[in-house]
Amino acid sequence: MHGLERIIRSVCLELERLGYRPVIVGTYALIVQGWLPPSYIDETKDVDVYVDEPMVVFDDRVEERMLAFGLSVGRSESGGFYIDAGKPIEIVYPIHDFFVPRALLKHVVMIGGLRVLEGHATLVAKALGSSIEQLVPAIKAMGVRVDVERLRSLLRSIADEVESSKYMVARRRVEVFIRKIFPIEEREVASNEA
Amino acid sequence: MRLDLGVLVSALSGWTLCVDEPSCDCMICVQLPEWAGRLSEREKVYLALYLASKHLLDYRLAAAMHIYMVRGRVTVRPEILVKALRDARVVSRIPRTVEEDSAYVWEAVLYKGIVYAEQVLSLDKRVIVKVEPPKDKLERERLRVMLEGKRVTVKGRTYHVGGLVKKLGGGRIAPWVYLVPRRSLPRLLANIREKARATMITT
Repeated sequence: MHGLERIIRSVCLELERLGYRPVIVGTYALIVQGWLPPSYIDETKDVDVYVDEPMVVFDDRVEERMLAFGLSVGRSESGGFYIDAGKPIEIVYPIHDFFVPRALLKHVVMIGGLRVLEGHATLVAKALGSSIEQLVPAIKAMGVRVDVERLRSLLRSIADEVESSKYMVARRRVEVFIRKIFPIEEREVASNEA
Repeated sequence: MRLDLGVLVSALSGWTLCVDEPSCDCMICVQLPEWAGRLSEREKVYLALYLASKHLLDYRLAAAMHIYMVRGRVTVRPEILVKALRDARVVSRIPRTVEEDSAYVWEAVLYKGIVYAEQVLSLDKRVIVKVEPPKDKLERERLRVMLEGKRVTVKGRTYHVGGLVKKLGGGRIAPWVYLVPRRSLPRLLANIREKARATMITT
């Protein structure tokens, strides 16, 4: 894990030197912020480092720098960079219309010199791509206080940036997550309605 | 402007895409919004390909878009793509093959398109070809001229004969070792096999 952290830090530093602003997103962002236990890293496919620049895919300097650093670099099926660090690190970028909305990228926290997407924003970004309800037990076990209003307001903030059908799917996923993490609230609402 | 989609994906040969042409007989017509006027021509074509793929939900069109992006080194910020979806107009002469229209379907179409595009793009990559020349000296020279070419002067006029490797977009890297695009490999092999003069080793 420490070796992985060191490599991620080096990758981010190299990207910053090339003029990019890398942000750690995805499950690993939740792990470093203490939303998920460190052991959760075994559940993840890779560590995502997001660069908000579509042209990064054509920047050969990225591969050169990583190779010069002694890292093994490959390409994913969509052309992104895969770096071997025990657990693969993927440099993700906006590929056609798959991206992290800029409204979410405003919510970045600095952890140990790394730019990490804030927990609530990470959940909303994840909801755009897949369901997030499976994270509920682990987040609950960590005793994290999830701010429901913040989740909803972040979701509203991306409404103009993403396609409406994708937004609706993300909203449904976030609501399922909220219902699972706060079952009491759900019960209260139900009793109030009755 | 018009684009022959068969140039990008052979499965789409005969398909034409027109961008910002008021009345035409193309397969797919895309009317970009006014604000797209500030984009470059290549960005407009990329945007039109994106809108056409989203309209028809066809993985071959998604592949064409990806190939255009990679070959032309052109891309547009995703926010612009999403904005164009609201403001642009797409008309096609062919029906959509997929009825359902949701984020999941587009994800699947795009992913399939990218994988297909990468297959096509891999044909542009160059491979090393080692030719095993024939033993006979004359035969060997004939094959060498056919592959590498030669300048011949007849009555004061100079001609260039042979040079198949260069014609196929390749080059010579060492004696009897050539670098050719993977796409041209079958043609090169066929030309050599016809004369039955050499065997080839591909790495």
